[in-house]
Amino acid sequence: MSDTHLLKFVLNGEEVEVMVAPAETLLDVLRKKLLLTGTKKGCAEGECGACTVLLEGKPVNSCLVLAMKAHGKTVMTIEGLSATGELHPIQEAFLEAGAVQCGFCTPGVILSAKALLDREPAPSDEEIKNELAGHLCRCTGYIQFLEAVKRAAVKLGKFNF
Amino acid sequence: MSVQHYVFPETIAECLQEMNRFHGQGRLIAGGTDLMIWLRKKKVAPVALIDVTRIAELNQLEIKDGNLLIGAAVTHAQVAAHAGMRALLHVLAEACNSVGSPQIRNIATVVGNVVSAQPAGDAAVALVALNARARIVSAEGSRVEPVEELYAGVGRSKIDSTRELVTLVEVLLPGPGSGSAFLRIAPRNALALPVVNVAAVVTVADGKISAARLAAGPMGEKPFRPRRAEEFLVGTDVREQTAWEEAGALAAREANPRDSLLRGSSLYRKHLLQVLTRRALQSAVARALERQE
Amino acid sequence: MQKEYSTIGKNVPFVDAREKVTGRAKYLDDLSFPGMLYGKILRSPYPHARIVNVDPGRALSLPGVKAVITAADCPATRFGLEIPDVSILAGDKVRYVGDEVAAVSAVSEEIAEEALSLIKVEYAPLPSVDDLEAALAPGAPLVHDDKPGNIGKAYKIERGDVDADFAGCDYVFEEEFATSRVLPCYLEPFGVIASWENDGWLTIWTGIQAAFHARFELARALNMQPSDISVKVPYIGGGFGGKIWIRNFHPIAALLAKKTGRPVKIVLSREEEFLASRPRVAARIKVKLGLMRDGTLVCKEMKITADNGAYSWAAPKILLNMAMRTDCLYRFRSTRTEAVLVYTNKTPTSGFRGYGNAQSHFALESMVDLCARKLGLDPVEVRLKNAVRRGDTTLHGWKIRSCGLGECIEKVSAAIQLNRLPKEKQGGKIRRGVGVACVTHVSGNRAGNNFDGSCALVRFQEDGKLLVYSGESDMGQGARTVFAQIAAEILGIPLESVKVMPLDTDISPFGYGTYSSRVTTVGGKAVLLAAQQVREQLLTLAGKILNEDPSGLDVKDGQIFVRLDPGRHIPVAEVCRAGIRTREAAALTAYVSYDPPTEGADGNFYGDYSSAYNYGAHAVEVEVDTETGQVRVLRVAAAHDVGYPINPNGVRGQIYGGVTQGVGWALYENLVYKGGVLQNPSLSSYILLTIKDMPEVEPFIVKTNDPVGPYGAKGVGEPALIPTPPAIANALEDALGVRFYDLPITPEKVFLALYARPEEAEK
Repeated sequence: MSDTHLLKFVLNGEEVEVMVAPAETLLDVLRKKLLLTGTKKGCAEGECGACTVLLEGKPVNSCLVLAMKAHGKTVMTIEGLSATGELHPIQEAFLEAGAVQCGFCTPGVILSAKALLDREPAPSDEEIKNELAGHLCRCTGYIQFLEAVKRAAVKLGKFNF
Repeated sequence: MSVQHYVFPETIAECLQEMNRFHGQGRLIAGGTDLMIWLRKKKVAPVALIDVTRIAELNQLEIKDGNLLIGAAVTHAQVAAHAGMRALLHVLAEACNSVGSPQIRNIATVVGNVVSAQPAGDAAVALVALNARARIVSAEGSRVEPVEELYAGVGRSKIDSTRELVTLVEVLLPGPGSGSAFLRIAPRNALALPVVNVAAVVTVADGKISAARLAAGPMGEKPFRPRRAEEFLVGTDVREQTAWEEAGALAAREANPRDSLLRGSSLYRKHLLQVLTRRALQSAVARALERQE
Repeated sequence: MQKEYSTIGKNVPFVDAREKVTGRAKYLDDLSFPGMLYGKILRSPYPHARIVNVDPGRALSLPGVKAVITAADCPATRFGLEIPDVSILAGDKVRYVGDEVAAVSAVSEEIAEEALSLIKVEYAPLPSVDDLEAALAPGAPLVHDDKPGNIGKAYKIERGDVDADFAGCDYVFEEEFATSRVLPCYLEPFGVIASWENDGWLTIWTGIQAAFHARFELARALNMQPSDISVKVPYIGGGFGGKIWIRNFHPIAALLAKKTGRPVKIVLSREEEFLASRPRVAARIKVKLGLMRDGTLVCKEMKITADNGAYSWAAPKILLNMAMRTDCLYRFRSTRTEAVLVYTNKTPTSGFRGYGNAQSHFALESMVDLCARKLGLDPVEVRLKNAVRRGDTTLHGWKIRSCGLGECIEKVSAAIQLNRLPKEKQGGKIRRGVGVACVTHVSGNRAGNNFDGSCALVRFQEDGKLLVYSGESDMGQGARTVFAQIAAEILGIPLESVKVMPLDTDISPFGYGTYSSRVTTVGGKAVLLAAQQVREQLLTLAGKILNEDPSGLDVKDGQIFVRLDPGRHIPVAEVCRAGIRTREAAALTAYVSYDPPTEGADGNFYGDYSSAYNYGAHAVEVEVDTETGQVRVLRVAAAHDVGYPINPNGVRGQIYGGVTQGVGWALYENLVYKGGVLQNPSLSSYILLTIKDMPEVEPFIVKTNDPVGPYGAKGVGEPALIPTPPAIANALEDALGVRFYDLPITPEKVFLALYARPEEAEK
């Protein structure tokens, strides 16, 4: 598998150019070539959601997306959410709600939460569940995710209980 | 992985040229969520991947001349969120929302669900119930075929993705008095393939069913059409509550799912087909009556 | 009146959560080293076969491949735990689908993968034993030639006069229960990086729950001294018992690294996680219970047959827990258990949250319910009547120093009755019911005279920041946070001033690791004692500086002050600077080896072996669609006696997660084998709950202030899972009048139970 293709895309707000193989996944390019290891590899078959990134603002499993699909597009990984060093309100909310245990699913879940809150500033429980349904978490039982997303909605200043 | 080229044709003509250039060694990719797994398991080994998602024409999702047109690059999420869908095509919206997870629905295409030819592909089962047609283009020309006729076996489509392109799927919008529903039973409420799914589309006129199409999976090599149940339904009085039960029983009798250690015994799944058929009909008929009023 | 704590008992965010929510926390696969190679393992496709020949020839000539190893390259020693029956790579024969046969290292994962396909292995398939019946049949093929009858281990444990007690009972009932194979299924695939230093030292990076055990077992496997091996533990993406012990891939990586002189990384694929991880020991458990008319539980007999899989690992110990622990839930007069562990040609089993105790709780807590119903008694009342209490010494010699079992039962049984939905809907098509089940578990586990404690090293730095070192792992449950809270509380400094260091066996003090729900109880106590010693050093030095008697000083919010004259104070940081950067040369450091005051079990398994015993009860409400057999758990009320919650949010997190895994085990998860071949080796076919499948969970924290644990704390990790499956089975009987004896309770099983003749259901 040789790196024959130039992939240009906007990653976490910055233009990036990287040589990739045509059948390389976005996940592998992010982790191995761009050294952004915040995106996790839990199954490599689109079943766990740990590798979730935002492609054009929408959550996708980066293990099921060929890197070339990002050509000319924007991608956000967990590293892009707190690029300034300050925690994003969603990250703060997950931390405060106790929604983080082992943390392996966390980056992906937070990105899905961001996509939801960007679209729907005051989501119902059902909307939160629908949006996070593609993430397997073995530690938390998901219950603190609900609280975290609602807490984040409040922090983002657009929603009151 | 042996893939050496990744190309983005911008028009259908360019796409055909690319397919021609790679002499059957170039394979179309839309969402690619199934293809990724096949590549990894070496089930397919193309030299080139021809990405159709940047062909403007294939991104169309619109209602035109009484038809819903779904281009080959349109995702499940787009179809489920389409404004006209809830009102007109419950069955398709519900089916598209059942697939995998938001992350998968954001990338996997509805046409891909047809071409990957899984007998219980949720969107494809709904499209079969809707009598959807596929427009197919190749170097030899173009043609239209019912989605139902595109299955060659489990996971095998009659579409050869190294030389043919399904540009879009079109669905004739059901008229007044029609209603539809999609139901599935799965091991969990997301991220799951169905144990049984059922799509029902009915039209009601003068208090009677005037047309009915049912599709279900996984019951064989392709989405299963319980034709005896469909025939039985036509002419049935909608107040006849036992009719839905009877139609379900007919469907179950006609079906022949295999025993599966993971999905359940044939007997159990026939029973589920009966229950789901009845429930889907009840819901579709209720919606049809609402639309009449 | 209880002292007002500054961080203990508070919902402080986990100290490592910031690293995790930003994606900066490094798990094993996030690490790489210059020149690092990738290892892959060739696994057996047969459940049982003789290896005729292994020919690595063409794999070695593939560009990028640096080494291929087979059994011939491995030390001949057998390793493992109680029964050393494991080889690094299979030599004579393979014993399960997934058994390790050869391994390669290459410059990329893809090349290593391709190289595997070039290794030619010639197998002569042998008849296999795929289940307990086949393995125990007369003349059955032997999994290990030196294990006649495929028996790995057998126990018979008897207390009191069981036969006489049964004879005196008003009622005696007997039933058989069965549990299934389920997988810990942590999200982070297990892996290792191995690297040799020039002086012959081996460094292992691996996200393991028990680092010092790992070092010891690895030394056994490789014929080395433990101290020549360093185990470094990065962040762990969940373990749940599945990452306590080393696997074959650990020594395999070490051998590949030795052969190539380069670091080698092996991370299991998700499929390998299914084929070759260590599922829960599945068991058939026959329970005989003797009762009096008034519901007094008198005596109990269990006969256990457990499926060990192909190699034994922790299963003998798990079987022992299965055989004993439920005897200590109620005040039985006598008990007897016979238990056997049976080899089969399936994936070897090991520990998963509950470590054997969960299996027998399913049997006993189902049985108690069933018997109470037969006698027309309220199952909740029967449990309350017989529950062990503080001050009891149980049949196995456990001394119960704190016990909130009764309170847990009362809390959840009341909670589940509130806002109950009607028992029927849609003319009986939907049926609902409630059920309760209990648990007793341990916080530590001393075998014989072995150490069962933990060590801690606590030291101040010159700027007043504190470093805490422990030998116990944090796999996500919050050990770092609990240790930091304890140290901050004792030393009167802000939580932010405490850093709990990564686990490294070269630096961290000795510890057994994260299992037996022991980390808070014994690991936390060690930190507490070490912090107290450092506090004394700190106040002594401060007294010298302030010219005060140290006994009149206190420390709070980073300030040391004179208790009777709080205006006179000095910052902790200043005292640390004075202690470390001047001729004062104060250590401000303490190393404590703490061993809890338990006696350990004797040769007959009798004795008080855990620092504390934990209790809990779950009540569930279920809803059944009788047309499809689908079961939905609507609500779970879960009460746990944790002694005292050091971090209540952390305790609730353990309860939520435990409940979820319990629901999964009861209704969704199952490793399905056919002819010894796993049929569902993926996350799409092995069903974990998603957020859309979750019931409501109402947690209750019961405080009993254990006299030994730090701040009265006991463990909660494992107990949070255990009562869920029997509570669900009990609720199903309440809803349907049908008893389910086998896990998982699938919709099809429910359907078949509801329709004696399924054909009729179709009409």
